[in-house]
Amino acid sequence: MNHVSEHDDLHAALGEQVEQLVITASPIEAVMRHGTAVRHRRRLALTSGVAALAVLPVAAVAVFAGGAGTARSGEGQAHAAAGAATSPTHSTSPTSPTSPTSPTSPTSPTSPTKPIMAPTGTFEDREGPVVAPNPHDDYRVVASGTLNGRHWRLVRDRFVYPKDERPSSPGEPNNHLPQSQQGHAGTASCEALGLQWGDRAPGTFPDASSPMTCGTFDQVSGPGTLVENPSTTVGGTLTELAGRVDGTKVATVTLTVGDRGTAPQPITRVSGEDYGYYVFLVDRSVIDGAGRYTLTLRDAAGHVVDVIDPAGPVAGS
Amino acid sequence: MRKQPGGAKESAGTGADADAEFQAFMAARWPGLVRTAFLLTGDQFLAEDVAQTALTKVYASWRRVRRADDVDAYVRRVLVNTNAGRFRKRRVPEHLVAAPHDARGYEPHEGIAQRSALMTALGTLPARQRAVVVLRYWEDLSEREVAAVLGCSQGTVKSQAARALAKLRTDPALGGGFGHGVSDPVKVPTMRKDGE
Repeated sequence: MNHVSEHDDLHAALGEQVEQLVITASPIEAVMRHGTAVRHRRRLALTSGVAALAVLPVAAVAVFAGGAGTARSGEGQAHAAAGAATSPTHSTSPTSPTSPTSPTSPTSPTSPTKPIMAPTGTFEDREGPVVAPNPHDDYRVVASGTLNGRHWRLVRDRFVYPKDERPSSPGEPNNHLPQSQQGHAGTASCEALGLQWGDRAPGTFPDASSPMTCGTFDQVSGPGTLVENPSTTVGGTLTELAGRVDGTKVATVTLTVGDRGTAPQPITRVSGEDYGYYVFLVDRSVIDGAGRYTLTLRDAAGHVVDVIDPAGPVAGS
Repeated sequence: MRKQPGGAKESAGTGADADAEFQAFMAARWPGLVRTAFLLTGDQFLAEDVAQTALTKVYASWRRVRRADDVDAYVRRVLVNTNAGRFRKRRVPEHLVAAPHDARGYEPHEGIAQRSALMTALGTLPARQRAVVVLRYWEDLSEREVAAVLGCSQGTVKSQAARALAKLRTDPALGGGFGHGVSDPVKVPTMRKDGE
């Protein structure tokens, strides 16, 4: 079989698809106008003091830095953490080796010089009928802590469902399948990741908030994408920023909002997996005020792997 | 679209120079970016939206981007990430997710041009596999280059491409070919290594 020829054949077949397109004139004016607006917003974020930035690196700081709350990071089945007798400790004092006042790498788009303050807000309780965790799901507590007297846990939920169906949500007829069917033909998988407040079992609804990624088992379990499913969840006066990164490439994540930022926070790895997780809790006014934020991913040597803007620079424009 | 010659390199000029440089860059790259985005999205309107959003991001950082070693590679990465961001944004609910999004595929706007069997088959691929197919077989990038764009390993590119091609080979709509017509099917290639 002539692979090169076949490669060219596929190239040609794809070319046939795009040949049918009538390419419109490039929207240069709109692009430059919006791009300029983005630049202005960045400048504003840098110069407006962001004094109102009541900020916050999070509880995760202590957890990620391997400080107190040790046993809460990246271990075991979620249920083990439910109703834990010892309250996961939390400190608003960053324990990571780098002070939050240290400038970030020169390659970072902004050079935050001020620390993000600890959040003063709290998360409002979600309303709705209480639904117990799905017995087929694999819940894990990735990290946990206490913020302003309230217990939080970053909960990962992996489950399997018939790929031709929509995965059921709590309260609907359950179509989740046993974990033993993970990767089997005719199935698809989802990974949900979200912060859960309170002490009920991980995965209890409506306590858990879980943006999710679904796809094949390989997609969900990786490895692959550098950053997967970065989410921004707002509740009460807090904003949660959480996501999954490729732990083979990324060692720390730094949150930057305007001219403020956190120290690099070590990701939390789950034993035996390539991925790691991060979570930041921020006063809602911080993100709302700045309009955008960036996450700087660094490898173990401190080199910047990538800088991502989960909301996209044109969001809100 | 074969690889286009390298992009705008830095000319230590004024803001006006940079703007003129960007205008020239965008004029040259717009058609190609829309075509690539079309193969990624399966929808011309979405493709133009993704390409425009990507170029807006690029313009916002143009003074830095233009100094990159390979501007085209950077822009390609922004394009792919912008497309992926469409999924991410849908996965960012403010509260509980009522109807989780299935990242395996998505339906383009209705009423758009009739889709070929190949586009339909591409639409059944997971987003990442589809990106691998487009970058590898349309953009003609090497596995290393595709890995750089997607932020993954070459091994992942290889496995994702193999899975994608295997799926296309067995897609009944393609009938073993790629939509050239029954009499002139295009065989789904097996993987080749860089430089072959």
